[in-house]
Amino acid sequence: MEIVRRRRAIGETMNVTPLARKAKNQKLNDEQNTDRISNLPDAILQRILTLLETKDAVKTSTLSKRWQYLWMSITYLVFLEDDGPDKRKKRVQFMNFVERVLVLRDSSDLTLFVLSCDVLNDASCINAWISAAVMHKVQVLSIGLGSDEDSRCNSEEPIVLPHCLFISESLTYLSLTYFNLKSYILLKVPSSIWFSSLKTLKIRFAVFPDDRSMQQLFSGVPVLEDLTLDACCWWNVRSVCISAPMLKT
Amino acid sequence: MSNQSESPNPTSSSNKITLKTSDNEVFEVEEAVAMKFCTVKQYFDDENNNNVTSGTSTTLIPLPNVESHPLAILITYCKKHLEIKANNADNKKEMEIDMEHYEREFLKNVMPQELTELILAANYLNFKEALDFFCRAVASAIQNKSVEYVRKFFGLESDFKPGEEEKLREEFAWSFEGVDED
Repeated sequence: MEIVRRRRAIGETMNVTPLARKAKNQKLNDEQNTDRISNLPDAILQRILTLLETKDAVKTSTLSKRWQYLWMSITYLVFLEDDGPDKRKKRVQFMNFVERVLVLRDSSDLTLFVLSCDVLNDASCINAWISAAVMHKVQVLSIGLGSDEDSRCNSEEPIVLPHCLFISESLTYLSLTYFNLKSYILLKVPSSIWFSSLKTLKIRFAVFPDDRSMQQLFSGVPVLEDLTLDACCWWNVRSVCISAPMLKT
Repeated sequence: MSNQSESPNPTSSSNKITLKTSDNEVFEVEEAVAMKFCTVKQYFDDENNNNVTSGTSTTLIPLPNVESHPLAILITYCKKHLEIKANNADNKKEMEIDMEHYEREFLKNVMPQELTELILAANYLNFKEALDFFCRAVASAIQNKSVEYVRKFFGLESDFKPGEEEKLREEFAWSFEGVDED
């Protein structure tokens, strides 16, 4: 009696459809290639989707109706513009893709947001995406921005990252990389900066504008533990004091 | 950590636990292995609390949602997991390398359909490490593959009406470019 009760209890709490298959079916073979993956609970399928690059996760929406909306609750977003020969042609598709994913996904908070693409003439779009990630309380943010060698866009004009990024309370990891540029890009920062949770900051290939803004940046990281400044230009900066009491490396 | 394989004849011993699958097969496993299955652990703990009088435990734990085939694989995986952990108790890096090596070999002998079955079983048993591993395995198997490949891998068929799938593909056109060869 006790066992029967418990048996039911185990079955019910785990919320798993009992697999009513006969013992003789237990040996698997190629012919018996039935769709079992779709029997898995949403939580597990979403866990698998979270491990994929975003484009692969979104692609599963076309597997079957069961999968159509599952990707929308992923909390890891990774957008890497490819570097192929027909890069420019795919640009519009890439921009549409990121836009659609951000609009269609549900309102759950983001854990990770990785964006690597050329800026070209889309600085305002890219800023809106970064803002969207910050609004969704992203914890890990990695941004790589570049411009194509032969593009006619004005690479001298720095992209000014949105102010909300610099006062994010949720951000624990921020990596900023400017790549593939003829000239280094000026890192413009707003006048008020407060990363209340930021533990890791990495900046690569940036030109620091002046003493004052650098001072602001390094005074707004109260819990910073890990700081990496790689291939950055300091020629505008005479001295700066980094005040981060928790800094380890 | 000793590594005896489960014997079909349950011999009453205080550190063995007997598991009974949905297809009525009985597995006797060491307590350390069974305790990695949180569902079993929970059951075991509850049972112990209720029966304080029973000294030597010969508890038979029914697993109505797990078949013998995935359970046997999970037990093997679990034993190896514990063994690797015990062998490298003081070296986390070595442990990770050994584990990775074992997992790579492990996947060579697992069919895609089996993987799903293992996930279901690991999920039911609440065996965290195995569930993580199998989910990672599925993800890496379908990473950068075509939709057709993934359907075949999972053994599922499209139930979209004509035109619906094409529309979805158009909407997310960028993600369908440049997939690996199947």
